[in-house]
Amino acid sequence: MQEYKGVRYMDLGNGELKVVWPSGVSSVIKSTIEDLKKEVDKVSG
Amino acid sequence: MTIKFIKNADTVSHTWAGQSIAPAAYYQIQAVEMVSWSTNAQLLADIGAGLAVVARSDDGTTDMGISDGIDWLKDADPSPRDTDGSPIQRNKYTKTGWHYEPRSLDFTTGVYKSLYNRKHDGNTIADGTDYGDATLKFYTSAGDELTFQETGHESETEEQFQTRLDSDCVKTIMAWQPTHDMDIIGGILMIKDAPTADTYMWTIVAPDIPENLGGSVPHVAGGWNLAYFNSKDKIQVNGRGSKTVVYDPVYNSNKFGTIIKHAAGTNVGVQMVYEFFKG
Repeated sequence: MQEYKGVRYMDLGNGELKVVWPSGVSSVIKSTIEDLKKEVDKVSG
Repeated sequence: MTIKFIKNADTVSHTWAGQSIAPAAYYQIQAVEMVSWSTNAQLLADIGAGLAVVARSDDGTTDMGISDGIDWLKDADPSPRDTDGSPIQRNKYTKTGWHYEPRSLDFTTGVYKSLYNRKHDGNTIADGTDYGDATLKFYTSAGDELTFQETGHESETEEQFQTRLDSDCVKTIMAWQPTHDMDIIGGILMIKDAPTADTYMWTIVAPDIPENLGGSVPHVAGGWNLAYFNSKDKIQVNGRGSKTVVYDPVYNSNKFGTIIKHAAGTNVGVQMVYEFFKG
């Protein structure tokens, strides 16, 4: 897995990412890596 | 096949099971030699004397002590056994040094200052130090938060604020975010004053992170209708195992939000008990 600002992610293909937040909460989401990074920037302020 | 090496730990060459090994050199026991090496009395004596060492590799990183080395050489299972020779199983459920610590969070829907989340210090019920890791918030049907002495109500008393809550509060959210890591197991819900009208409850983990980003994960889903229960009923949720939840002060992804939607003026006493292991 790769990491951006403490948030780990893995590109599963087909437009899906597995995201693991620092607490360990994880989910598979529909997103691009770029969009995820933008959202992480928003959440982290 | 298990890979086994013998190292000559002496300062002179030794010959074991017909194989000469130079000082500090390793020899990998071949499959056909396993029995002769593992039963060689001289080798076993020299392992005990520290002249030979059993290892799992020949790079010096896996040299084994006498007891472990002989067990490895002889394929012995070193797990503890009872007097009948049956292996004793000791399952480990959490990290060394951690303990079981169920945490209670007691509150009443739509009631100001009803959250009780205190330590045992002090003498009276009101004396204990608040843990400070939980909040109780109230919302209108429009989703606006109702707060004490908010704009337009700057001079209201607590009684007047409670009157507003009784009139307008239809959603109560109790949020708990422990400031420690834990292995969470499950929870217990206790109801003090069961409602007669439909009253629905959810528990959401990481509620501050939208679902489309992998947050807002439901742990109590679908909306549990508390009107099905009687006063002082108890519901236990067993996670069938524990899950590590790490304290996350940046994204608050270890926050647990309990959301209860209720009729205005419905005051349901709720005690949430989170079961977990912690250090």
